[in-house]
Amino acid sequence: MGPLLYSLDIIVYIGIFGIVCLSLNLEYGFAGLANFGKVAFFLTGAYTYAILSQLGVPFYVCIIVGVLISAIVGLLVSFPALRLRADYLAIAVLAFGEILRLIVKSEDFAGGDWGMTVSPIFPYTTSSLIYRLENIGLIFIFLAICFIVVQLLANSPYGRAMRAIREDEVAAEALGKDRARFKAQAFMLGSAMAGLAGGLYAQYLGYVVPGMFMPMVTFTVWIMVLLGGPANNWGVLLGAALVEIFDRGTNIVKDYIALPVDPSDLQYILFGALIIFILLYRPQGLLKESMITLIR
Amino acid sequence: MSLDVNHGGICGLVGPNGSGKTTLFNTVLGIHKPDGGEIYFNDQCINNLAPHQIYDLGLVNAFQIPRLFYSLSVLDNMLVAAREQQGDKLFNSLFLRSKWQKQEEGLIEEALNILELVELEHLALSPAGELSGGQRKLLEVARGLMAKPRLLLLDEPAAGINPVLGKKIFQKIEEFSHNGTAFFVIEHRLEILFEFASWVYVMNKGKIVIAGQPQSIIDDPAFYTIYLGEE
Repeated sequence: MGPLLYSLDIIVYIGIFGIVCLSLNLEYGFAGLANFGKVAFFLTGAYTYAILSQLGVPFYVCIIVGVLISAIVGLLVSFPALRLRADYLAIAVLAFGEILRLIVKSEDFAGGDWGMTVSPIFPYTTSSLIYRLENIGLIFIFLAICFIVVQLLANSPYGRAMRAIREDEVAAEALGKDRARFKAQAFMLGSAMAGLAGGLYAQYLGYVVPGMFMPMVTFTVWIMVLLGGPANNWGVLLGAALVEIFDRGTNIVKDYIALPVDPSDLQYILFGALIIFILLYRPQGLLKESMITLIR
Repeated sequence: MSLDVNHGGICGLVGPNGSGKTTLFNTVLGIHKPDGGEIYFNDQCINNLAPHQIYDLGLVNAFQIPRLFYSLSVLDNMLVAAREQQGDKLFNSLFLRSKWQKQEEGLIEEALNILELVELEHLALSPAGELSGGQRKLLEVARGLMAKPRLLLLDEPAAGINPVLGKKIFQKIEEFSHNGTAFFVIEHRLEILFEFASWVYVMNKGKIVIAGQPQSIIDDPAFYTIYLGEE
């Protein structure tokens, strides 16, 4: 892959993971929900898209159904999960993501270990350059829609209530905010957006395999959000771009530098160091939380 | 125990530390579940209601140790408490912005008026985390007033603030009480409470031991034994 195609590929990934980051920002940044099972809903969207596209269902129907199923799964998971304390919630949804991955890995309807091929909406026959540009256009339209939705929510009385629940849920509930409703809705919406990203991911790559949905995907998204700045939509997109460039950059560098450790392991070490560095020295992320702007 | 708080006016609750005053408030608000007995608000049993449902009935609390939303501005802290907001529904927040924005303008004006009463108007756009201890206390009280309660439970509203401002808060509370809001107030600053309260309950070891008008409490020698530990 030439440098141009490689760069365009990075932009595609920034778009897809930008959507996942916005979804985690809605859940964690604004509502304070530690969703460490993000990959589960990403997987749900991707596999729903893959299964339906194999049946010949049109692109937009695949995407919409993927979003709806991810939202429903998110809502169902939220009912028991949101009764848990934050740390146990994190463990429960992390386990849920792995359970879902092991299910698609073992079941024939999802292609098992070999996964499934997906028919792309843009034909490969044109050229790799055009194919990537078309995907960038498509993905960034969805990214813009997600951005607007989260931005509107964040800057409304609804977003203010979510932030209040994040800060002190007992006080927020005593002031009339039904925390269960707000949290379940945030979880559902976040899952829907992650499902959308999953569908676009499957469509772009032209296949899905269980190995694409390891827990590391969730952790990468968390690094993006923490680096960019939770509760700041521009921040999390910046985080998505920086981490993606860092990830791809280290992939290139490792081919040219002799390292004493496995280059893939070094990447994980660097990711770990990065997250510790952020939490110690810049806990608010690169961009601090955006203030609520309603009408004033 | 059995006690009543009537419409309008200020009802006081006093007692030594650890007598169960704050626990009583938290139980009434649904934060703690009662072991037994029944709590009625406007003839409706509220034992099994969630705190947000209790708020919907008009029963609101201002916490003893302020529980503010520290990264939100002072004004946003006030607005969270506002009643029947159209914009805090998911659908409305996305698709009916013009509808709730109009309501929001009125709420902001209302919030600024209350903040003016407690002398926090100039800090409206500052994060609540930047307020001093006394200012946090004032905001906690102001937030309770913003909720337009039928009954507002105030847990030591004058604690940690200067006596002049403490008295001013009670004067404002009295003004609000004339509009039909009832106040049930825990307070250790007895000189202020007794000036404004129309009825006072004295609590000790989880029980109401004396009840009456402030003057009758002051005249009761048992009060000093319970409250101050001396004859």
